[in-house]
Amino acid sequence: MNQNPPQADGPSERDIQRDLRELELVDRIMGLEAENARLAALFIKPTGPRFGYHRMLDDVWSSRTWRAGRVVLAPVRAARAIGKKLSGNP
Amino acid sequence: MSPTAEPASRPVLTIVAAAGRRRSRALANSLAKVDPALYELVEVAGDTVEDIPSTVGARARGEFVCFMCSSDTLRRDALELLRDGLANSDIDVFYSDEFVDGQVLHKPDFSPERLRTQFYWGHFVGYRATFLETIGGLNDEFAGARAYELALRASRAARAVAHVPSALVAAGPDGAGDAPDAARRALEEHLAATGGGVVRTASTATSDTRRAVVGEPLVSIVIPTRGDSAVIHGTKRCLVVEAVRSVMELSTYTNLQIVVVADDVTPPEVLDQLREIAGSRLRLVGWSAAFSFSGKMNLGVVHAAGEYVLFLNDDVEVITPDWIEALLALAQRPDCGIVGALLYFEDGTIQHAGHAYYGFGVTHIGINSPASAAGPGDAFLVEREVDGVTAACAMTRRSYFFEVGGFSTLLPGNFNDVDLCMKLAVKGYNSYLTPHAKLYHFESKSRDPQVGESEIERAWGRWEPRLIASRFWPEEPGVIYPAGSELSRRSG
Repeated sequence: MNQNPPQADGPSERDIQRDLRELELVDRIMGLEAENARLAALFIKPTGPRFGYHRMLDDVWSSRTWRAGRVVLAPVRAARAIGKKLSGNP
Repeated sequence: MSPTAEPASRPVLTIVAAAGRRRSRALANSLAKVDPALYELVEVAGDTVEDIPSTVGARARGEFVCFMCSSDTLRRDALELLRDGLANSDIDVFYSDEFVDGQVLHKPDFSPERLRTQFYWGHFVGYRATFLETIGGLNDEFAGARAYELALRASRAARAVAHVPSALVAAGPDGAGDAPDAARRALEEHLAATGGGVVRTASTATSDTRRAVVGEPLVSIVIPTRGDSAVIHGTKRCLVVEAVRSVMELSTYTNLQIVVVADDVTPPEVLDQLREIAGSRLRLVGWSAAFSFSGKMNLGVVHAAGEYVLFLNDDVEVITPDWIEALLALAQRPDCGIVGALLYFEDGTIQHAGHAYYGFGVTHIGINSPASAAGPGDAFLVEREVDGVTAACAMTRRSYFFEVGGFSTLLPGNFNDVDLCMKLAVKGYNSYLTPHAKLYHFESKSRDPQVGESEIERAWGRWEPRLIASRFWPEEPGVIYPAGSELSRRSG
């Protein structure tokens, strides 16, 4: 089948651990950026013409119920996060 | 004009309308109560949009120009909505949802890959007048497919194409043209200008066009397994052995590496069978930690030598021999972050035709629909943009996988594919689904699909705003679609 079969020898253990660490690090950074963007979206009003998906997001984010819900739930979220930290759960 | 004089305001829209076979007054009547300053109506002879003279758009006074039939009906507030939405924008083209046979035909946001298989923009498409002048308007060389050809040409040059997710028009009975030869030429020209591909069948409605694989890059198929067995089609089988066997025996693409990440509990005889089936293509990687789909897949990709990696569950079976070519042809597009396949349950019903992220939830499009269902607007028949795809079968560039940090190990069992697609989207890479890669997916035969609360909090904590409304699947989630083609039923 294959004219150019894959090499039999693979990456070294050191390379493997380095690559896995890199994946984890990039994932954590992107995850934090996403969480920041989610929070920022609550308070920053977009400008310019918007249709469709973005318009619907704007409508949701700018609604009173959405903002009120986030504010009301903020202490609960914080308490849960602190509780998890104290209990050692991820 | 004096220096202080106000410039004459332009109408929002010039509507160039063909009289149609019935000489209907529907369009004119629907405009009767609309502020005349908002529009210019230019009525011309001809049965369909295809009969509108190609020069007429150049004389338009409106900021935007659209080509319609006199039997179409505009919603009364359509022009006000457009005026507000288009003001001070860089939108060069817009299209809207529409009423067809009394039902709303929802459309996806701008989907260039879908457009090269289907003229899904429909009856109400507006082009900025200055933009239309720049790209040249309707082209008589494509008689019978001029509207589609113009749309394809515009999609290549527009600064922005906007989807108005509101039914602004009710389509009348005067259809568009249907000249397959002209459509084929338009599609061939479009494919050549956008990275290449082939036209298998052509129509002004739904065509079969495919991107072409460039070169023969190594594809590493990464499969996580515990070596479990299950009864499939009435026979007990080892899932991973039969999955790899179907890949090796059926696939027409041959430059493959099979990376199996096997738990320590995997029976040795299973590993022996894999060595026998895959030979030198096989790389076995051990996994001794607790269950983590994400961790296993990341480890597999780290071991993979291919420029492209194909994630594959061990409970699958290949149906279409050219499935890898279908995935690879799209994965090779620079903007493609990930591409998924059409998956079927053991009983032949659809398991996955893409992900839709909608109403804060995640849904498999088409789930439980019969295999022959074409879906709304024949969506299941065409390659198209999707919100995301399942990692049960999906291909990406290995470099893109590293660029976004792979599967998140914070999501060991669930939503890791959603998270991966979201991270790729953040980086500007799109998700696609091709119905030309078909596999069985004997889902949940290989693991307990329990969802952890922490996974929900993590995934929604990152992506909640992007789970509100689907950009590419504006349908109710969980709908079971009937067998056959919706478009054929309409036209028939």
